[in-house]
Amino acid sequence: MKPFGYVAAKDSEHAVALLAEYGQGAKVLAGGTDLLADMKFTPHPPPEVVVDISRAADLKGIALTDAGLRIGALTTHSEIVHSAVVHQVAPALADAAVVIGAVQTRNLGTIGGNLMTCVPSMDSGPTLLAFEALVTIAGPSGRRTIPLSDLFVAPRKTSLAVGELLVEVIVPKANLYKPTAFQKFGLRKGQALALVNAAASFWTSEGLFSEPRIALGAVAPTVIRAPKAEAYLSGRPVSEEAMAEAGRIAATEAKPITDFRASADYRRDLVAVLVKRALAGAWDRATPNQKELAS
Amino acid sequence: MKHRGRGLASMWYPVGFTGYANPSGAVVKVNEDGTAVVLTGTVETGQGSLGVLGQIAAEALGLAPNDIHIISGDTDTCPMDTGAIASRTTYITGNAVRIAAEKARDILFEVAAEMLGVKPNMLEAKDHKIQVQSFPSRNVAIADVSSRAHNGIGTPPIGSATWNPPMVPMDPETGQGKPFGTYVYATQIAEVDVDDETGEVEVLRVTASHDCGTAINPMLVEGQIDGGVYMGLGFALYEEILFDKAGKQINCNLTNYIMPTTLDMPAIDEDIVENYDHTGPFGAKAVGEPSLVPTAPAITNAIYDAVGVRITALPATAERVLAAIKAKRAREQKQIPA
Repeated sequence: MKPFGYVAAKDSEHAVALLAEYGQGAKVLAGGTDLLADMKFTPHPPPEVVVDISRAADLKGIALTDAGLRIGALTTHSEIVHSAVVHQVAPALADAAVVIGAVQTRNLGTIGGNLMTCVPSMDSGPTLLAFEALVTIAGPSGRRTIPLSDLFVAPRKTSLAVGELLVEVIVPKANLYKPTAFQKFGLRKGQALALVNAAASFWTSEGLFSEPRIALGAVAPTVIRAPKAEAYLSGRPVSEEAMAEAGRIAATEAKPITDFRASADYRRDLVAVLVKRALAGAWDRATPNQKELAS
Repeated sequence: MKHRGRGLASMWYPVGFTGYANPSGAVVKVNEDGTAVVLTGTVETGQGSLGVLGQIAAEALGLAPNDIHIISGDTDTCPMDTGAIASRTTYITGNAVRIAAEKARDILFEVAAEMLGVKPNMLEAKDHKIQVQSFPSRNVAIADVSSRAHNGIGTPPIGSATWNPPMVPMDPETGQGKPFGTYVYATQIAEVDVDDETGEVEVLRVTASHDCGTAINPMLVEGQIDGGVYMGLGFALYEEILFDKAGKQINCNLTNYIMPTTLDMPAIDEDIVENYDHTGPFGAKAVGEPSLVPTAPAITNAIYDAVGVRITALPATAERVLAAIKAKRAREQKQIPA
């Protein structure tokens, strides 16, 4: 590894000041699982300075607030896996966190880092998109909150401006307890990159799909929603056939690539299967009360 | 939907090639304190071969394995060994160590015979003692015998030996002969679940039944079987070296050359079938490489049992299995008369 500068931030305010000071030359260090691999194994020069935010206590923690479920950007995947409140209000987040990398990666890697690295196969993205999560961004001119979908621009590229910092992820209050499920398919069970991952959520109203949300990973330049499949389900009676058809429609919305891991056609096949299974998983997660309302 | 299937595969595997020279040498010396040193050219690579060689020397000398100090892998100071290859170490190096230890022991017998007033061929080495066969109360400690051999008689107990499986040239007319010293046999049964929508194969359990001759160290034999099943699993379902058009490997590191993880491992029932082989040290043959030979065919047979498709190119990745399932469905569709 080539030499690089290092500075540690006390809190998020300090981090934003440091990012403003160093501008283009700064890289944020959270868990370091992506950054260190990048600095070691890619030929481009190292950042001028690494801004270590891992000590910023105000970026940590999982809590219910007036806005919904607030997950600090520095929260590790393991903390999400073991969070009682996550299991209560949004258990699909834990399903997605528990299949990231290996135990060591999950102990170090953070939800903010996973989102900000912005690879299309990230496992945090689809579930959060299905929950219509928001993200709070801090910058020199203060804080702003945007939909997570507006964060993703391209592979390894987010919409954040130079000097901005991802502070927290919020699952809106209205979507807590929304039946949601996550599915991942990799080439093996442990330490696997997703060939395809998918999440689905929906409410039910008088037996009909209501506000269905479907998100796909690893099959487009960023994690994406599948709006045609969502539109197909909306207002349709809940059934296995409808779930399967939504999967087939989502497969047409995916734009996967062929590489040495799998062909585009196979990835499309997987989209259809994983979306169907995610929808079925969400339905399994619906409480008896929710199901009764649906029947 | 998941389909359960079971598949079986059997193999034989040759041990100790005889077509060209395949020797191992060993030197065994018994020290004045009744411990012993073994010099061997073979190399421990984690398989436990030095533990087995120590047990062989200990058994031949009437000592315990922790009395044996092994010096290995230095070609300047140790006798020649063809290599830690071909599942040959227990069988061939083991025979060299056994014979060298017996030669050192025979020197101890000469000395002890005089001390006990019997003929050397009436003695046996056991439990750190040289004793009269059938009269174990008439004995002397090996340490005392060795000390007397070194300092009294002047015959330090040192043995050296080489062993080479008997070389049998092939008949130039028929190409027939006896190409190997001995053979081992094994059968493995794999139990799998195949997902007919994704093609994913999950290996749930492998039962591995192996003839290894005498199992000198049963836990090491089980460990070798576990490792072989792991490699066979990788061969069957995951591992593949891929090249680009220029012949450069695409997947040359552990993030993209897919090997199974602990989460992918099935439960393994190791079954040792002991079968004394008179050509091996204390009847032992081999288990190393043979342990991975039947795994992949057992798994592909289990896939056939589960979903009715024959996988003829490895690894049987989920994508390949799904393609085979789709091709089978298309064939069946065609056969339905209009």
